[in-house]
Amino acid sequence: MRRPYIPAFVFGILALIGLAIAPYMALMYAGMEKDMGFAQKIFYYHVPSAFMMYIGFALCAIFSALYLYKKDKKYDIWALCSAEVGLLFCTLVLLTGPIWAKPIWGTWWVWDAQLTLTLMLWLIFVAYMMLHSYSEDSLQSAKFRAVLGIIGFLDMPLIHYATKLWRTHHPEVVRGEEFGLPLDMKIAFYFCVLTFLMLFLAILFKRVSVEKAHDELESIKSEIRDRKAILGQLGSD
Amino acid sequence: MQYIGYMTAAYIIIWVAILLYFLNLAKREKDIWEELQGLRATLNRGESTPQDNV
Repeated sequence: MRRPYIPAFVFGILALIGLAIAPYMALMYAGMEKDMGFAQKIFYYHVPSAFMMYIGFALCAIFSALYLYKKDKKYDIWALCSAEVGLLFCTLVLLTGPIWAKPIWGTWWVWDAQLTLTLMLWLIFVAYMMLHSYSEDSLQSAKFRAVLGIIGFLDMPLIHYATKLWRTHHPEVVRGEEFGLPLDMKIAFYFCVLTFLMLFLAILFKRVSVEKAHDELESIKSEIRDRKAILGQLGSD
Repeated sequence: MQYIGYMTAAYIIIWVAILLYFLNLAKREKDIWEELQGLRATLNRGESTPQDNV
């Protein structure tokens, strides 16, 4: 019987409510930016996606470190799932960023520090997922992935502070006291961040439940193989 | 209505990507549970009749 997974369900319901209201907050409640027009509205989904990317990859690094320290399979499962969900949001960041850039910068992509480092981060976690998919030795793969997850995490402070460290095209949108948006835009933005957080948690918990079921499946398969081997030995004796 | 097409494209991409990921996750879960139930049944049969080929 399928196990109900309450956290995924609760966060899923909250995310659905948020997602129903988020377009109203972004399109109607928040005022229109006079220079960028509707292109600025991409910000309400692009930036929260970037935050969820950070959370996903940070969780992956934390669980990877715990896995390397304690060698407990459950940390590997959480690291893998966090990486996959982080990669989903990283992909959204890389897809929606150029759609904003085209009308504002006049080009889809520039090879500046922040964009290039984000692309690098995406490639690191694509490699992470490939290592999981194509490796036959699951124990060794888990160790390699854990190291890769921690290396990927080291890229994130560089991305976040790229606009301060180097001259980049990317705008400094949210940086502490410099976060100078009008109140209506701030409220809409924080609402979208909260909605994306609920969505992130719903997807993460769901993904973990699927991976745990997959793990259970693999252990049953292994048990069946062992029994077959024993029966084979008994038969030959 | 300045740049409304770009905004619409970005929003559609986000919703479609999330929806596709969810559908993929649901399919993976369904496949795993079907296989798991089949194997559990096989395993239970093996326990009740040890001579059976598992």
